[in-house]
Amino acid sequence: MPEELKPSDPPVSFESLGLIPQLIEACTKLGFTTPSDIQAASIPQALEGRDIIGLAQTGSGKTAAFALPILQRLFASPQPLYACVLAPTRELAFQISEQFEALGSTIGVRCAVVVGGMDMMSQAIALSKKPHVVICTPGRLIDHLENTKGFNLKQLKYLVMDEADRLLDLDFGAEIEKLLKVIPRERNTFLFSATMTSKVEKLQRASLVNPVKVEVATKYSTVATLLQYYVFFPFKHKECYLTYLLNELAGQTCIVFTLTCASTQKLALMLRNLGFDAVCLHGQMSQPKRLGALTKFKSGGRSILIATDVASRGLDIAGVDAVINYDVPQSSKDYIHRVGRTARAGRAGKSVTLVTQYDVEWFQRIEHSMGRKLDEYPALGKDRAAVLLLQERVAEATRFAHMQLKEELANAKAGGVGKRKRSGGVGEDAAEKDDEESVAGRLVRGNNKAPRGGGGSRGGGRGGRGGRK
Amino acid sequence: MPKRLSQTRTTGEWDAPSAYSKLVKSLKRSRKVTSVSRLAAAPQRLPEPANPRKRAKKTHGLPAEELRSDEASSGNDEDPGRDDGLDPVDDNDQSKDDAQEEADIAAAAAEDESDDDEQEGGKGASLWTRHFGDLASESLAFLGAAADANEWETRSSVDPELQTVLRYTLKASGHAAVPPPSSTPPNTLRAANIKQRLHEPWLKTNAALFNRYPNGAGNPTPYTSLQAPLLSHLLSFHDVLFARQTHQNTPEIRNAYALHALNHVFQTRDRVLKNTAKLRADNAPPDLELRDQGFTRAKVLILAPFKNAGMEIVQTLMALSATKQQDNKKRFFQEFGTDPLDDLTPGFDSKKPEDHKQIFKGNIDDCFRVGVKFSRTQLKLYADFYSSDIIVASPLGLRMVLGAEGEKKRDFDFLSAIEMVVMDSADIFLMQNWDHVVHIFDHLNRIPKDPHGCDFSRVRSYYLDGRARNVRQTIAFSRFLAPELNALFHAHCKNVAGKVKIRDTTLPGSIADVAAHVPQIFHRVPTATAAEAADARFEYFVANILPTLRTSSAVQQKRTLVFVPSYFDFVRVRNYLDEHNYDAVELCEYTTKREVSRARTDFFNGNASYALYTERFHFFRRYHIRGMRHIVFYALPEYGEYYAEMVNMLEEGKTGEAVSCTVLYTKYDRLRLERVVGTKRVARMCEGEKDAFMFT
Repeated sequence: MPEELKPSDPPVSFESLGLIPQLIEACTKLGFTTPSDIQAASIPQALEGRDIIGLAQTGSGKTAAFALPILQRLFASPQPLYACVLAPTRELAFQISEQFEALGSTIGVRCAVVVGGMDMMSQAIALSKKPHVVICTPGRLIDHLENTKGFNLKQLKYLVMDEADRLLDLDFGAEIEKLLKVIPRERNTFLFSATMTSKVEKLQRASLVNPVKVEVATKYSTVATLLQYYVFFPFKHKECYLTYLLNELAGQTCIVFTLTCASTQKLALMLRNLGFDAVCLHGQMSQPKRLGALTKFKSGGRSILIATDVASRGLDIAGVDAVINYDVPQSSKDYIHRVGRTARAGRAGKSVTLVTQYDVEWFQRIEHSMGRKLDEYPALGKDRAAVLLLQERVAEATRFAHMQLKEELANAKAGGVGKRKRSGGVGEDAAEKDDEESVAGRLVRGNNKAPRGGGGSRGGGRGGRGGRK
Repeated sequence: MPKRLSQTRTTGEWDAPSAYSKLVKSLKRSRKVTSVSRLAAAPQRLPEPANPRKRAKKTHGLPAEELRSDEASSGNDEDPGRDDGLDPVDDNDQSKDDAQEEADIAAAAAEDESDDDEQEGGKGASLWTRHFGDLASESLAFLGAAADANEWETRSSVDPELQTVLRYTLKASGHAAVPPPSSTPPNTLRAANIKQRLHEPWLKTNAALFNRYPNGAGNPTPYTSLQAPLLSHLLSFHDVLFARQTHQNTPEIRNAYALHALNHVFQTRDRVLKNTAKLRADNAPPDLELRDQGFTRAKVLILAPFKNAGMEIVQTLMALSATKQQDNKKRFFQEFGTDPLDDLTPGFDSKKPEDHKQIFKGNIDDCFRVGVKFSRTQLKLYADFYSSDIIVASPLGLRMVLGAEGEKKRDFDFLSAIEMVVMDSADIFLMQNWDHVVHIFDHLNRIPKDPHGCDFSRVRSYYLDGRARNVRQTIAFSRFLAPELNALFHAHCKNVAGKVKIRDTTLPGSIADVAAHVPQIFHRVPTATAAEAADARFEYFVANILPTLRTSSAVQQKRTLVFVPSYFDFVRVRNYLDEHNYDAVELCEYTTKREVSRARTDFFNGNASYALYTERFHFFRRYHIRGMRHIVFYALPEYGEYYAEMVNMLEEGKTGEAVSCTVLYTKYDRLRLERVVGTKRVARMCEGEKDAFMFT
C-alpha cells in the first residue's frame, strides 16, 4: 500500500519546495506566486524521485504539480523524449502542452502534441525532432509506436497520466497495457486526477514503484468557492428551463453539458435560433473544428459552450461563470469534473443541474457519493409561470433546429458522400457553422417566413431576444 | 506486401498529353505508317485510356515476361507514349531486393573504408559531408532563409573554357565560408572525393572522348578540358546553369554529370549501409543517432527531352557504375530504342541541319520515366520510385505521375528527397512544355504526405525542418539562355552553396550566316513593361507592319511569311488576319500533316499570300518553305540559327522581285536578339536612341 501523505503546513514559496530559479521565474511570469496545496505536497516528493498518485480538487493546479518537477529533472539531465504525458481528451492534451511550454520557456523545453484527428505525418516529423516532452492521447501514441519507424520511448524517464482514473477506464485499457510494455520499467510514474477509483489501486501495482499518495482532498470533494444547485421540473419543459436559465445568466460565460453528440448539435442550433451565441463541441466533429470551437469560446467570441463529456475533464478555461448540467451526469465522477470547469484557482462559480422526473435516482446517487444535499436554484423563485411563457418560442426554435439538422443530413446524403469520413458527423455542419452571417441568415429567414406582427409564433430568433429582456 | 504506389498509381486518367507529345507521336507515326487516311485521323483521336496499364494491373500476378510481351504488343499498335513501362514489381522481385540489401549491409559493415569521414562536419570532412551531412542543419536555418530571400552577391569572371562565369554567393555566408572555386578540380579522382569504384569505369568511359577531342589528349587530368572546370563547380555542389550546350559537347557533359550523380548516390548509399550496420552492431549505444537520409530514397532526378536522350543517359550510368548485372535491361532497350523494323534512319532527310538530326535520332517519345536502383553489384531499371536512387524522366512523363491539384490520384512524395536535379537539353523543354518543368520544381522537396516506410530516426534534421530545397543542387544544361530558364534559376534554385551561370562571353550572331542579299530591317517596339510587351507588339504589328504588306503594289503583298514564335501570339495574329480577310495559311505545331502539305503548296503557288509559321513547327519539322519573297519576324526565334535558316529561304523569283525581311523586337528580347545580331550590337539596339536598324 502506498503511504498516505496529508498536506502539512504549506511551505510559503516555490523556493522552499526546492525549485531552481529558472522555473520560479517562469512561475512568476505566469502569475503563480505561492504553490497550491497539491503542488506543495507533491513537488518535494517528485523531486526526490518518488512515484506519485496525486488527488486534488478540480482547478487546484495539478498540471503544474507534475510539470515543474519533470522540468527540473530534465534541466539537470537533458535528454530527448524524457517524459510522456497521457491525457484522455485531445483538447486537454493541447492545454497541458501549453502549460509545459509556458513553464519550460525559461529552460527551452520542446514539446510535441500527438493526438488523434490530426495529420500523422507532421506528428511523426515533430516526434523525430526529438522533443523533450510528448503529450498525447493513448490511441494515437500507440499508432505512432506501431507505425512510425524510428520512434520509440525506450529512453523515457517519466510517464504521467493526467485524469488517471479516466485513462484507466476500460476504454483505454488496451492502449495503456500496450504502452506499459514498450516503455522502460526504470521510470517515474505520476497519476493525477480529481477523482480516483479502485481500478487505480489495481494498476498501480503494475506500473508504480513504491508510490506516495498525495491527497489534498477527499474523494468526491469540490472546492468551497463553487455554489451548486439543482432545478427540478417536468421533462417536457427541459429546453424551456435551459433557455430561461441561460437568459438569467445572460452576459456570463457558461458551459452546458449534455449526454450525446446529437443533443449538443440540436441545442446549439436551437439556442442560436433564439439569438444566443452558442457553440458546440463534441467528439464527432473534426479535430480542427473542435479546436476552433474551443478557441472561440476561450477567447470570449462565444459565451455559451454546449459540450459532451469530452470537455468535462481538465480543460482550464479562465472565467467560466457557470456550468449547467442539461443531462444529469451518469456518474458522480463525471459530475465532479463537469462542475470543476468553473470556480477554478480560487475563483467563484456556480453549477446548476437540471433534474427531471426520470433523473431523480441518478441525482440522488451523486448527492449521496458527495455526502451532501444540494440546494434548489434560488433565482428561479416561486414564479414558475414566467418560465413557461417562453414555451411557445422555444418549441418553435426547437422545431426549426430539427429541420436544419434534417436538411443537413439530406444534403450530406445527396452530395457530400465521401466529403466527410465520419458517418456520425453528417448533421454537424449547421451546428458548427456559427459565424455571424449564418446566425443572421437564420434569423432573417425565420422572420421572413413569419407574418409581421404574427405574435412571434414563427420568428423564433427575434422572439427569443425579446424574451430575454 | 511491398508498396507499389508509384507502380499502380499511374496515369490512365490523364486525358490531355501536351500538344507537343501528340505532334511528336504523329511525327513518329508518319515514319512508321504510310497509309494517308490513318495519318489524317491520328491527331484527332483522343488519347486512349491506358489500356495496357489496366491490363497490367489485372495480370499483376503473371510472370514478368508475359506481362511485358503483352504490353509491348499493345504499345506497338496504338499508343507508344503510354507504355512507359511502370508496371508492378512482383513479390519475388521484392524479396530478392531485400536479400540483396542485407548482403550490401553486411558488405558495408565488413568494409574498412579509408575515406570514412564519419565524424560529420569535422575539419577534414569532404565537401559532400559538409553540404549534405546532418550537421549542416543548424546553419541551414539561417543561410536557407537568406537563400529564400535571394540575398545573393554576384561576381563575374571569365574562364578560358567555360567563358563567362557568373558566380552567386550568399551575402550572409561571408567570404571566409565559401572557398573560392578553383577553376580545376583536383588532378586525381581520389582527391576529388570520387568513390574508388567509379575511378576505373570513368577512365575507361571517358577515354573515348579524349580520342574524339584532340584537346583532351595531352591533358594531365582525367577530364577533358571542358569537364575539368565544369566538374569543379559540380563537385562543390553549386547550382549550375550552363547555357553553352551543343550537340558536340553533350557527351562530355553527360559523362561529367553522370559521374557526379553516381558519386553522390554511392556516397549516400554507402553511408546509409554503414550506419545501418553500426546501429545493428551489438555494442551500439542505445542513444546512437545517425541521421543520414531523406524521407524517401530517390536522390537524383535527371530530366531529358526524349527517349533517345534518356537512353543515352542510362547507358552512361550503366557504363560508369560498372555493375555486374543489370535488371530489366532488355525491356529497357526494347522500349527506348527504335524498332529495327521501322528504323528509317537512312530515310532521314539528309538536308536537315545537323542539330535536328541529333535531336530527333532514334526514339523520340517524349513521355517516359524510369527509376534506376543501385546496389553494390547490380543496377535495376524500372525500379519502384520509392526504392530507386535515380529517376530519369521527361518533363511530361513525370508530370503525368505528379498529377495536378485537385486530381484524385496524385503521387509526388518520391520527389521529397531529391538532392540533385539535372536538366539535360533544357532548351528543348521550352519547345515541349515549360509548364511541366515548373510544375515538377514546385513539387520537389516537399514534406511527404505519407511516411512510405521511412525511418524517422534516420532522417536528417534539415528534411524535418523542410529545408531540403536549400541543399538541393540544380544543374541545367541548355543551348541558350532564356527568360524562363533565368526565372527558374532565380525562383527555384535556393541552394546555400551558391550558384553559377555559365554563358558565352560574346556571340557572333547568326545574322552573319545570312547568305541571301536582303535588307533586314529591325524595328524596336516601344514598351514600358515586360507585361505589356505582348500587347504592344501586336498593336505595332497591326498598325505599322501589316499596312506595308497590304497597301503597296499587288505584287509586293504576296508571298509573305510571318514567323510567330509563340503559339499564343500565333493565335492572336491568325484571328486578326481571319477577321480582316487576309488569305493566310497556317503552319503551326498543331497543323495536320495533310494541311501542312496543302498549305505549303498553296503558298508556293501563290494561291495564298501569307503564311503564319511558328517556331515550334520549325523546331519539330525543319521544312524548307519555298516561294517565299518576304519574311516578317513577329518576334525573334529562341534558336538564333533559325533566323539565318529562315532568311536564307527567301527566293527572288525569276523576274527578280524584291525580297525583304522585317523583324520586330522589344528591349525585353535582349537574349534572343543577342543570338541573332551578336553581342556587340545588342546593347545599342536595345538601349540606343534609334529604334530601327537595317542590315543588308
